[in-house]
Amino acid sequence: MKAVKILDKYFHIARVSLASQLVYVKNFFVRNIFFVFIIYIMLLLWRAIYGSQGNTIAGFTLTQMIWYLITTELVALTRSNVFLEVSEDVKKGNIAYLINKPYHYVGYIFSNSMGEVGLRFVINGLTAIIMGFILVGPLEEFSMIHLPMIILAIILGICLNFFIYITLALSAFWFEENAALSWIYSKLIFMLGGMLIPLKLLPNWLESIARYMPFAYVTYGPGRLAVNFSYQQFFEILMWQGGYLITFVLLALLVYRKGVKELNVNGG
Amino acid sequence: MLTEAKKTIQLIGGYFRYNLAASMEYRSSFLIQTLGMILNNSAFIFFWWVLFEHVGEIGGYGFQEVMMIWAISSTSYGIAFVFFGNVRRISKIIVSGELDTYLLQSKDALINLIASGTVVSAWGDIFYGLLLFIFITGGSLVKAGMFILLSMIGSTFLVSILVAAHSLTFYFGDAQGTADLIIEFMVTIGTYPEGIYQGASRVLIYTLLPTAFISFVPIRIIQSFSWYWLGVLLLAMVAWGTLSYKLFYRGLRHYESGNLIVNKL
Repeated sequence: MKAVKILDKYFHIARVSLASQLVYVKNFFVRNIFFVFIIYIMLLLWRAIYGSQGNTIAGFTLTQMIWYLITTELVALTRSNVFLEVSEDVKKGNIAYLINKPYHYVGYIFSNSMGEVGLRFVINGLTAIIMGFILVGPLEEFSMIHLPMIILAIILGICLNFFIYITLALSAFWFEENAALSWIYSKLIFMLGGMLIPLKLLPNWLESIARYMPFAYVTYGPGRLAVNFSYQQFFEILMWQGGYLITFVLLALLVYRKGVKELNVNGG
Repeated sequence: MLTEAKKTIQLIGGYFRYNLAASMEYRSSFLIQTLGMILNNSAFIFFWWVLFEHVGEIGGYGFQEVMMIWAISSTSYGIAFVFFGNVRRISKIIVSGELDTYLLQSKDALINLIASGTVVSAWGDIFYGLLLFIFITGGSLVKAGMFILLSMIGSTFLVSILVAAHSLTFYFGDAQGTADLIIEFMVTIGTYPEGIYQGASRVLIYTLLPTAFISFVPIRIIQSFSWYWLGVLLLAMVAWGTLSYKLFYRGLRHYESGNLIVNKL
């Protein structure tokens, strides 16, 4: 009963955040233009590559490659600006007003972001599906039965991405200039997370390292599952995503607890 | 005419010295942002290296050609934002009413406005582009001279297009989002091989979104010099520059003061 009451509090924060984001729903559609544009450029690039290389590359047909990229971009672009928000809270001292409220700061940031992320997920998701059908048509051998499991992997990827960002952002307790961490992480997602190229295209030694890293389970896992579903693969990816998600939630809580002890806010 | 040009160059030079001194006040921040941008851009070398391990050629370009378009795009982008950093936020300045300050001074309002700000991380783009160029070509002096000259022409294109996009604010209201999208489009388009653009998209990159003049045409000129392409490039630069300058000043007639009091030191 107590747990339900606690959760209700965070659901309420998410509902308020969603309601305030709905006011700016037009802006979400404008931002989607970039999503559509980058996928279109990817289609032009891969069409040129497939034109000279044949029907399959790394086991992917052109249709699979484009749906793979649509899925990875969907995960990567469905996020709030949590890194900047948390870093600014810590650096500017706003956190002093947020840590004495009857909620946990990390839980508050998560539920507050989820309102925005949820709305973005619905809009980006619809855009992704429409775009995929228009640009390359439906995936061969796709079954609607697998869709809920693919959506679950995408949501877990989005949550894992969120908790990695918040863990890095909380470093602001110790470093004033922590933006470089966000840049480096986004590039690791780009290179080792398979955001723009499937891991199978990496050199063997790098692919075998990348498969064990958390970045692969933010983007590559959901992308791979979307275009080539198997139950064995699904459970394997789910296990990695769950494991890394728990690790980063605990890490965020630990960094926060240590950071708050170091907190020294001047003025008000 | 010549005196005007001299005064404009002096104004840009003055702002550049002032902005550089201001950036250097926070030296560690300057270094972090510059090195961060170099690292950030380097991730794309990895992407293309992996792709070219599997493919011999994409749209008529090999690995070297793609690195060349990266080098020139990055340097052009860097020069544009180091010297004319405020060009990114013209719409915000117009909407907030801060434009009054620039209109009251006895200088060309547009140049005064865009040159008075800088983007520190854009230094990273310049260094990245230059390093990449030296790494690819081995540092041939003639080619280096052409590279710098063509990067400056590229930055003029970028600035002109951004001024034109932001000037839409005078006519249709806040165009910040549109201008941000345009720059994202231009930078992205210009860093993929020219051959992937066919039909309508090819027409687009030579006309409305003239990215071709920032990356593809300059690379063609550096690789095998052609007076024809240099002429086309200069002509297009003058046309875009004139168009955006006129669009800004014509739009300025619609501007109404925001009554905002701003101190510009």
